[in-house]
Amino acid sequence: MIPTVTRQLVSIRRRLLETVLPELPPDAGFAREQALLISAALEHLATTHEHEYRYAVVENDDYQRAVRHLNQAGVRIEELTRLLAEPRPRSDDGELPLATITEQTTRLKRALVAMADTPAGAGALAELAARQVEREGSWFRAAGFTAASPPISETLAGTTS
Amino acid sequence: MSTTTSVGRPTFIERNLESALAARRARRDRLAPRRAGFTVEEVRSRLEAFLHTRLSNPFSLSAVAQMSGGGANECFSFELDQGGGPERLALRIKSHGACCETEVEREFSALGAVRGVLPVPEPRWLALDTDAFGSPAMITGFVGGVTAPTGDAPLATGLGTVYGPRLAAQLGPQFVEHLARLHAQDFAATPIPGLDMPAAGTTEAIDWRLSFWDRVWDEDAYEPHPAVTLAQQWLWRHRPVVDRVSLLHGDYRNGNFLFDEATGRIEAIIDWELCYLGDRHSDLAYAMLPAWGSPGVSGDFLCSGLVEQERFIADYERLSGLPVDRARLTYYRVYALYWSVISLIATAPRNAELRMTQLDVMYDFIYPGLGARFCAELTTLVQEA
Repeated sequence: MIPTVTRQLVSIRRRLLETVLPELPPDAGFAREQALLISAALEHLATTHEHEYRYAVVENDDYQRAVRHLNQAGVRIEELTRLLAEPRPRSDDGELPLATITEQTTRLKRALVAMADTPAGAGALAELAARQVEREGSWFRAAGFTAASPPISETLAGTTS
Repeated sequence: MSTTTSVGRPTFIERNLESALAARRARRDRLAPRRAGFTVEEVRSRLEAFLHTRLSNPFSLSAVAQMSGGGANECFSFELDQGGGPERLALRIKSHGACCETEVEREFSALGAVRGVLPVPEPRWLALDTDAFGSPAMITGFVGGVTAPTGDAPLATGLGTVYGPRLAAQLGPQFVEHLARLHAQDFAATPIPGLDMPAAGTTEAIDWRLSFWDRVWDEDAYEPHPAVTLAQQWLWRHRPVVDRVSLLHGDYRNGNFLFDEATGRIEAIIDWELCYLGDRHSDLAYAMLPAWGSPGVSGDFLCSGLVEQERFIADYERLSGLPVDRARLTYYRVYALYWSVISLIATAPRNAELRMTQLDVMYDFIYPGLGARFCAELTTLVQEA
């Protein structure tokens, strides 16, 4: 998926610093301070957001282990059985960094195109094209041109792997 | 042209476009800080220096102002007085990182070629090297008017401009007539500087275009896209022969003409940077793309927000004397979506990443968003075809 969220955050921050900030009047101290704060926040998001899912998995796993351990030791509170029965991520979910996954997918795409001259390859390509444009339509629906596409959460939930 | 790829596809592209792509590669390779756009004062001083090389009589400049836009060109208006009173002119400087790589001599020459046939800004001076304005540039006459209604017509979603019933009824027939006149004009005997002439009765014109977009995709795409691969294969397999070579505007749609809101008269067809010599169906199919249009009062879809498709075709055939071939119309609809997708999902994000444009936020969000819509239409169309 191109451009990535990281790419978008970086370009937004650059435009803030190069285009908006210099245009602020010299005496607009508060606005300038806020613009710099927004820039710092965007930089923070650009470097951390790719790891949010893995962060949540690791944290969830940490608490799952502790609570299960206490449960097994006989320390119990109400609702614990139901809580521990809920679906949870596998402890290795999100272990591969996003950049690693997308780089591998790019190589898979190149491999597929190299096989596209065969009838089977062409058929696979057509099916992939339909699914990829569906995902892209949902991903960019806020840009306004594919507003009728379902939210990306629904499109991804409807995809079987 | 004899040059071919290992899979047998021709690779020739028009000479000045080849040079434009080479110049772009050089700009991308230079890691020096990009020019962030000129201030009005810088433009004034550069204009003065440039015009001293072109005008022998004393002159004065005034009212230099930046105009809106800035995708393919940075545009400024100014007044030039050579002793007989101020004349308003427009300066268009090529952007370093436009989403389509274009060449200024082509646009300048096309304006000269169609003057007298269509209303267009008068081309005045050309600056092909980068000394004068940092990028190739041209100066033309200034034409007043608007590209979209400023009044109470309802706002459109997406790119389609909603003109409202009065303006659509006034502008629609002119929109069709100007295109018919352009295509009916015979340029075979009068070469247009900067534009290579493909042979009628061959596929040369579309071969050159497809080769150009193959090259752009190869240079700009981050990774393969199945919709682009399928469309590319389909377009090369089904190339139609061009029966008659016409000068094409290349970006003929709403937003690319100036009109007088009060009279409903088209004052100028603008933005000729994508012009080329080829099959008229290319301009027709592009003007009919769903993205530019909107429903009229009756609910029927209006091409470019102006004219219903069958009416467009019938009036065009009558006014130009040229037949419209539905199969070629479909082919060029695929082609229009295909090259638009390449610009939107490959070139725009690539130039944004390389810091070649100040429109990077738009190139990383709005353009891929439109690209997603075009990609979906392209996939459907290729699978139906």
